[in-house]
Amino acid sequence: MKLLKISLFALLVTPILTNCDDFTEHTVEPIEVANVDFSKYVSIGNSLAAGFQSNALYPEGQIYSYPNLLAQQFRVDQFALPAIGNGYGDLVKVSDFSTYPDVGTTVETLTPGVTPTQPEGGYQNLGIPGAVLNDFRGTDRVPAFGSNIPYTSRFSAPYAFVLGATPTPIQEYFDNQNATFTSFWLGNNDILGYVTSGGLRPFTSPAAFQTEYAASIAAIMGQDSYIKGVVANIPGVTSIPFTTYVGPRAKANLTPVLTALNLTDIYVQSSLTPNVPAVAMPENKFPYMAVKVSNLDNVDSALVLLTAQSALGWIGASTANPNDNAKTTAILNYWRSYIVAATAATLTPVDAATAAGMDAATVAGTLKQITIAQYMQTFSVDQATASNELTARGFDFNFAQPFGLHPHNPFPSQFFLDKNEIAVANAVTTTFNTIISSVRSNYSSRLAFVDVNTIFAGIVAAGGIQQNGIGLAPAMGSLFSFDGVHPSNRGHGVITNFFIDAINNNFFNGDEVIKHVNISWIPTGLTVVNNPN
Amino acid sequence: MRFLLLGLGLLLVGSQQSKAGGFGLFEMSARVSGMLGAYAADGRDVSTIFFNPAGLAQLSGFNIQVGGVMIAPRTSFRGPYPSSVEETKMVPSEFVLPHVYASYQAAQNLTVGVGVYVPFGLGSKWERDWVWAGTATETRLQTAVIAPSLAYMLDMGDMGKLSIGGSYQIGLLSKATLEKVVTDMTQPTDGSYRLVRLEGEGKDTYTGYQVGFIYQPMDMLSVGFSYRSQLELNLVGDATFTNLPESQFIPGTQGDLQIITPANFTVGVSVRPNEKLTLNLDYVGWGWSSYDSLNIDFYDDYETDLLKDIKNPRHYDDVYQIRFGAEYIVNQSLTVRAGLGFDKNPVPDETLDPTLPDTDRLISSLGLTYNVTSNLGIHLYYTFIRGEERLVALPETNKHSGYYNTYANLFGAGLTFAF
Repeated sequence: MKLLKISLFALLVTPILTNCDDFTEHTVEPIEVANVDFSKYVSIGNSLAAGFQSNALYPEGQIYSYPNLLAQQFRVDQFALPAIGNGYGDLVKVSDFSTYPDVGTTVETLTPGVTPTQPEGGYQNLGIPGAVLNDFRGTDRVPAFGSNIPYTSRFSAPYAFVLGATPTPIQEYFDNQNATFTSFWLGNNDILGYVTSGGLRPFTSPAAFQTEYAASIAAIMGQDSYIKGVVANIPGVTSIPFTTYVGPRAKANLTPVLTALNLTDIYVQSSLTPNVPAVAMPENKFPYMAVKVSNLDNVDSALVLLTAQSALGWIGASTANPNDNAKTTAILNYWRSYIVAATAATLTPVDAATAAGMDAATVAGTLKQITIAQYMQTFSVDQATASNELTARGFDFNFAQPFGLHPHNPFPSQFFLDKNEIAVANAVTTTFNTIISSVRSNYSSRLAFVDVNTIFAGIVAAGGIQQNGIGLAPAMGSLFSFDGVHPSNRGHGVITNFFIDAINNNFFNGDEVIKHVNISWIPTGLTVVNNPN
Repeated sequence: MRFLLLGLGLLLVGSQQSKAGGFGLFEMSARVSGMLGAYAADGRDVSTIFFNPAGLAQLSGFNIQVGGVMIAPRTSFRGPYPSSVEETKMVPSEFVLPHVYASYQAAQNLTVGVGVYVPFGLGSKWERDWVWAGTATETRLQTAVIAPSLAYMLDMGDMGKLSIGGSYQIGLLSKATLEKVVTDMTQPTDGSYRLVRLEGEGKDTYTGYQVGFIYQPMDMLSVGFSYRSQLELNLVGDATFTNLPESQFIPGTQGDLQIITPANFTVGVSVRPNEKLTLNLDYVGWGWSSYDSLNIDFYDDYETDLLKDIKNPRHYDDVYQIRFGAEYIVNQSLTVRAGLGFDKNPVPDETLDPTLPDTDRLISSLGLTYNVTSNLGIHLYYTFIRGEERLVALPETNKHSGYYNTYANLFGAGLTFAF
């Protein structure tokens, strides 16, 4: 009996004494494979890598960035990213769900609450919104036309969040980390700025891109022979809702309006270009172009950009019609800002106050002068020649003509990619992608390759993609966030899975050493105003 | 040794109780929970109404027991597996559950009784910024039944005694609360959250029954069997939405929730080697496989693109408990108890989630009764539940994969009047 009591007592007391929180310590178990070391993963990239979504960088977007998802699947110990406080940028938010899934949106400017403090050893996600290829080595960016852009002049706030206040090249941070694995996805912004500005901003010279891409990859691969990684190419211009969302809607809205007026064309301001066969750029000496409304949904003829939505509402407005006052004011205000921007880097800049004081005739006159100056620069002719040649082509500015329906009051180029600009953007993208493939092929045993261009073209052609029972369309609020350029949370999940496929195919004969992300577990993460309707 | 055991019992405010796998409760007697509710073949306390109503037949005169238990569970999650071992602790919560039993010997060999107790209950709460806030931030289930009971003892002379009994359970309370964060939208910047909260109450009275027998072939030995039926809880819930668009989350949204609690049966044996010592062993089978899915069916008018019916497959397994209890009468005033049990959890890896992060449990208890007078006894007990660390390692099929650790402290107290 005594023995029974003693054993009973021991049995009872033992669990009481082990009344601790957790039984055992655990650590993340690394992926153990012979040929690739995932233990130190460092991501090099742009806004896509940073997790920029809906035109802003904010904490919930950062969490679902493809490098962060990859790091989780790689089971790395530490993957630090600059936690950006309240966020940065002009966040596009859903304001009205009453017509879901066509949602009303609004914009909220975010300001970073706390500038992130770099952890010991730096961030492993070196994704920087706005980064171009040359930012990796911190070299001059060579645009196809115009003068070089030094790294220090590109170094803005988002760079400082990741790299600190000093304009040190990304490569230095990368080299210091002794990475064992990297993802290198740069180059998108080398053409994207041209696309989103309707052809006003430059793209990187393909020859300079070739040199820089080769040098960047050589710098990474040369750092240590064990480094492996994955590179990705650049999606096509027409893969993003930013270029494709508005066109078909504009066609549907404008067709009855123009039919009633017995018109078939709208007139858009076009870029003056020299003939450069290397980038499919034809000579264009016409500062305006007629575009058939029936072609507004034809991605080879016209791409109406997401930014065009307000301006489309101004079609037909004229200073001759007093009822159009609000619209003509908006039109003039647009051109006043254009004048400020276009003259900013010239010898005779127009400041905002001066521009604001200009009446319609002065705005028209100034725009003519600017166009003549662009003609002189593009075709290396004197002012008289430029003026004569433009006049011979019927060029003038006159706001009494109906906006967008007459060559003298054209729809601004900034909101539109015309057929020449589309051809250029496509040619440059193809050239960049050829360069990326060819440089990568020199290191194919060490660098996996994600053909994002082909993948996204396929998704667009198929109208969507299905993963884990979730159907995602190449549209805003689905695969894409509300800026029409950057992927949504789940879009990042899809991209991550293509990266994982490329890695498994390249290094493991297609075995699923790295597992897919389950898309259905990623919250859609719609950006929503504080008190949505 | 005897004194040491007693001393420890006092120190820990010893009494007895436990907490069954799933959301079943069996800590429903201030006295019997000190021996872990191993009581199906014993039944000499009025709380036998809960464990095996057949035991009532052994009780003479009037008996009343009033008691309560405070349950303090603690759980942590580390994950999601395999990419993280970041720990989240469940918000500490304590639950106090009462019980009342009364019996009256109405005739020779016939005793009637009534009990009020909590057969099922559940509570878990997590911070609203935790990793699975989109699954659950608060889950509560409350029940209570009143159970009129009856037992009859058949004296078969040399063949021993056979008691049979039953009770009819009438639901007094059924409430459920479910809260989660809508993670498909960014949260407001002012630190508040977008919440869906459902508060459900029973829309009809649920009923169930329990039957059992105790066969005592000789003074020192008895065996018992008890069966408790399912309870069908039909709840209607009102949804409260915080920071959500009214066009998609319509104010006044209602929905139905049905929970069918499992039936169980208990087989027990009780041995009394002398007049001071009782040793009881119970085997309990729980029919948790009845709990196949937790569904919330919103009324059609309230279903929108963003608010759809919630379907949570559960696929619970049938499981068992083994409970061993001992009672020793030290003297006229003092009785001490102890218990040890194993509780197999019914939740498969595939459906384990933070609403009920169940694990296999080792349970131990200590308890005592101090008889103030021959009519009045004071009961105290303490139970410690140590859940085995559980790793759900299904990163491709269960997003809630990770390490779960659970333990619970239970303190119970009560009084018995007998006259």
